[in-house]
Amino acid sequence: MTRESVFVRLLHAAAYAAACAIFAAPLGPESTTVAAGLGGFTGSLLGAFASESRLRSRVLALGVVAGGALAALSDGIFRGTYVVADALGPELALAAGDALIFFFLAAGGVFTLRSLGRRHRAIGVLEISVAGLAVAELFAVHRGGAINRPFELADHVLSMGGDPADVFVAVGAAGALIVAILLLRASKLRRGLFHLLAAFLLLGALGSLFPFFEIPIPDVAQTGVGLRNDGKPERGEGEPKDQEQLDFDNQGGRNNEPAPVAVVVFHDDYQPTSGIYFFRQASLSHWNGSRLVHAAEGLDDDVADGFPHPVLEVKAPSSVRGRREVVTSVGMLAEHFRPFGLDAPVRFEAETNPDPRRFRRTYRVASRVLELSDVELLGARAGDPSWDEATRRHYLEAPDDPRYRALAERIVRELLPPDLRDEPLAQVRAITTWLEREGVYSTNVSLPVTDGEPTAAFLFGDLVGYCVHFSHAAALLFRSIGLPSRVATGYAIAEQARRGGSALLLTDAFAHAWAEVYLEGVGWLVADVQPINSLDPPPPLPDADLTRLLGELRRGEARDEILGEDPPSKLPSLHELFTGISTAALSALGLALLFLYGWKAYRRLSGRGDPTRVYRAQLDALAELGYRRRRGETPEAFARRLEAVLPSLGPLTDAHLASAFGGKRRLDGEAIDALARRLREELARDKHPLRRAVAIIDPFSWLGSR
Amino acid sequence: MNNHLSTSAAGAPQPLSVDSANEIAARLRRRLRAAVKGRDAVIDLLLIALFADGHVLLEDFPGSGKTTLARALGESLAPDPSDTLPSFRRIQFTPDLLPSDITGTNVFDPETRRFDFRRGPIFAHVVLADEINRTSPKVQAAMLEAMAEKQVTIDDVSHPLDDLFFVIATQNPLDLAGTYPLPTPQLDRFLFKVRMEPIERAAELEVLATYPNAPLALSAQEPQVSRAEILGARRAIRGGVAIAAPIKEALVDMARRTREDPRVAQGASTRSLVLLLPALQARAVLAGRDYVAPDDLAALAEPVLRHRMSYMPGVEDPERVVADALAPTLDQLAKAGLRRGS
Repeated sequence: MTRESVFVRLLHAAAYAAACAIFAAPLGPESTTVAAGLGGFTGSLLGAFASESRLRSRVLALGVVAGGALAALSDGIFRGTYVVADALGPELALAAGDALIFFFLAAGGVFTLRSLGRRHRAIGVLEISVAGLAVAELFAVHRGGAINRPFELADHVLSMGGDPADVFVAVGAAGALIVAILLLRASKLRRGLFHLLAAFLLLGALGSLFPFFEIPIPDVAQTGVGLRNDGKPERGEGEPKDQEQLDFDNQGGRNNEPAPVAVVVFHDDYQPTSGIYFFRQASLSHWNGSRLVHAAEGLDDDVADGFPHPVLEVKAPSSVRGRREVVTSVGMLAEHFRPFGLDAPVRFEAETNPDPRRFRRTYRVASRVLELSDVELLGARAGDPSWDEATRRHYLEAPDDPRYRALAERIVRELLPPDLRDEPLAQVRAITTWLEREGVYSTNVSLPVTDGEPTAAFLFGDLVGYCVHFSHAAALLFRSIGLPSRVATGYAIAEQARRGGSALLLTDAFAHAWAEVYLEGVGWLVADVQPINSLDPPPPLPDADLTRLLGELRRGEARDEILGEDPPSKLPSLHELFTGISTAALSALGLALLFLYGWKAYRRLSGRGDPTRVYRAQLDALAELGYRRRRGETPEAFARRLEAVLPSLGPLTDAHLASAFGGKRRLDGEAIDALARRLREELARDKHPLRRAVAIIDPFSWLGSR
Repeated sequence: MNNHLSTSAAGAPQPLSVDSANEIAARLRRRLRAAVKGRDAVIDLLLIALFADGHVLLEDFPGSGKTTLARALGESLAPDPSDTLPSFRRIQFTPDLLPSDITGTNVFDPETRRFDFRRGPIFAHVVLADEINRTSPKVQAAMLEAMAEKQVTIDDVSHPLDDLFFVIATQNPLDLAGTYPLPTPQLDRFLFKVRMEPIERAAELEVLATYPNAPLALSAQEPQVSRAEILGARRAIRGGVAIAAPIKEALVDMARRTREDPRVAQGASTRSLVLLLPALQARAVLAGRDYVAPDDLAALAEPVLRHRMSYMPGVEDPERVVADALAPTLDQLAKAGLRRGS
């Protein structure tokens, strides 16, 4: 076993310290993380020393047991007895006990691993896998390309205006360096430094290729919560393929991982009475014989028909009775056809995009949210007296199927007491309640092929469907008993997704369609159906930290709080860094080559006639072709070894030695040059010209001559 | 009395050049190589010790040619008319030998009624001390004193030995029963301790090929070497072969490396380095150089240093210790040479 240099030893210890700290970080507070790092450092150093001692490997393996025993002991002393707790106070004693446990466990484990790893190559492999695992552990939480994890890194980098992806690549590169360090079996300081430098330059060279190939961005469509939704335009259950009609087809299997589509930031506090936020984007009210589709111009004017430039007022806002204005800001992560807003939006305003790399569109919405409870809404009449006949008919148009009306009347009769049977709101609630009770939610539907009226097939069939089916069924049932209604599409998300914060992250899993009924003086009232029975699992709520982070990004606060307005990025981009490194490396390499060639040429060509310098020049030429004096070989012995091939080397060696060691008989300069010439001829006979050409190109050849 | 033994009377050796020293060494080497096959490395070490004024301990099995080698060396010396000393003597050491058996003793001469000193077998130019570890420590001490001081002392009278006095001692590395192993301080008297390996197959066949002739006949083709020539060559080598500063630095650093080696109880001493210097010079001359080169150090570090160090118990490969200290030293030396020459 070769000795290690102090440098390599410290590098190993630092790598182990980092690995232990990474492992310990999720298990305890900072003090234990630091303690584990220190333990790894100490264990690595002790292990390296122990591996050179005469201790048997079996004894070294006991290091891990000793570490465990010491940890148990400190646990017993610090936490099991009152001695330390009395002296330090319980909190400090507990923290110190924890730290000691981590320290000893890390030190013992690393000691054994390191000492045995130095002795046995097989265990050395374990060392490397520990380092690899540490890096993997660091990024395990980062899987799926989530930009908000690991929090410590991403938060900081984002707040500095940098791209976390760059930093992750850098950390991965550092991890690779750590593994390379552990692989370093070079015991010599110089060789260790050289290996490290080479690895670093390689990384730099790879990194400088990034501008050409780009850092790969995870495919968000498949990996879920991603950096940005760069896929095709958002397409949820509520967004029709051709924009004008909803899809009744099988939606099963679509739902793998929900992709984020937008973030909504509330400027005013608002909790909906129903517990669900509805964001309306479009409405479908025109009966085309088989389903509800977009109405013609002039109808449904409370829906925006384009993005604001810079302001877009809704033409037919809802009434002001019982409503209050709530302002929200929306940042769209995926492309949408039109803006959406909290029910019911009245004004859209364009807003400057605080982070164009993150958000596709940003705007601000003022909505009039309904704050009246159902009791307060009782007595409102359906429809609007100001409507002309055509409008009224438009919102009541329904299939000729008599079963709708029969069912609706039966529901009203069965569910409502006689005094409420003529009350529009009560009728609405009765029908939605019935649908919720009787229907089964599933995106995996198998509707029988019908003559083009899928709602009837659903409603009078097995009542298994998703929001499109339920909203149509509700709307058509409403219309059958004279309640003007339509289907609205957008997003619906439970209030708890806010988790007390002011931001909401919408994913495509929350795209929704629901029925709405028009009440006089109130406007369009959401009449959503949320079936009690569901065959599908509820969609996962978006990650709270990602929601908070994106909310801060949307508000532009993440930067402002540190750097003020219009912050330039303080972090050098990874590309620039790598380009800088590789430029520096290349020029250093060029300079080094120039120096090597210059020095080589000087040694080869200088000193004609001087025996020693001519001899050295010939030694260089020999070394270049692979003839080197062995360690412990005298120059004479070297010459004798090559006598058969290079007979002129002997006399030249003698001339050099006589000159160097005080002999009185010297050859004159011409004789020496003649000897050197003869030697060159002998070399030319001995080696192929190609081999000699390669030798001349080699800039390092003279370093090996001795 | 025997005043011809004093060096001055024998004629001060003529100052020679390094080249002629090389010629003398080469002549001796040719003679020895002709007489003894397959022992070139040992012959070189023997000659280096001879010219560096040291002695050699051969570790060898019986019948490996050491007597032939020593005799060939002795016979290569031309008889000096003014010299009454034999060129070669062999002493077989046994446990019952007495110091006077080798040094000589005072004998009463009834005619002159005086005690005359009768010289022992040690009074010769080349002495083969066979199985030196078989005799008692008392005899070993007398022998080694003679080697170190180049004189013997009988009854408070010192009798100097010749300047050329050169001892080749042998010991059997395996048959150790009833022996008195030489302690480290006494091993220190020998410049080299040479372990002789079995010779090559081809060389062994050559030995057999000389069978009908006397083994030493072949060496007679070369002219002999005179005592004065050897002494002159010694002086030429001592004064004429350069030892550059990096060589000395390398020696010191190598010695320090041996002392820091955990396998070594006692590293190379400073004296061993001092002794190494003439040996390096001698080898340089043998190689035809007038300067000490890294090759000399590479060749001589082991035979000079190994038997002068003591090792920790349980060290199984003492021969690696010197080699391990030598290798970085040679690299350092090669680098220093490249720096220095330019």
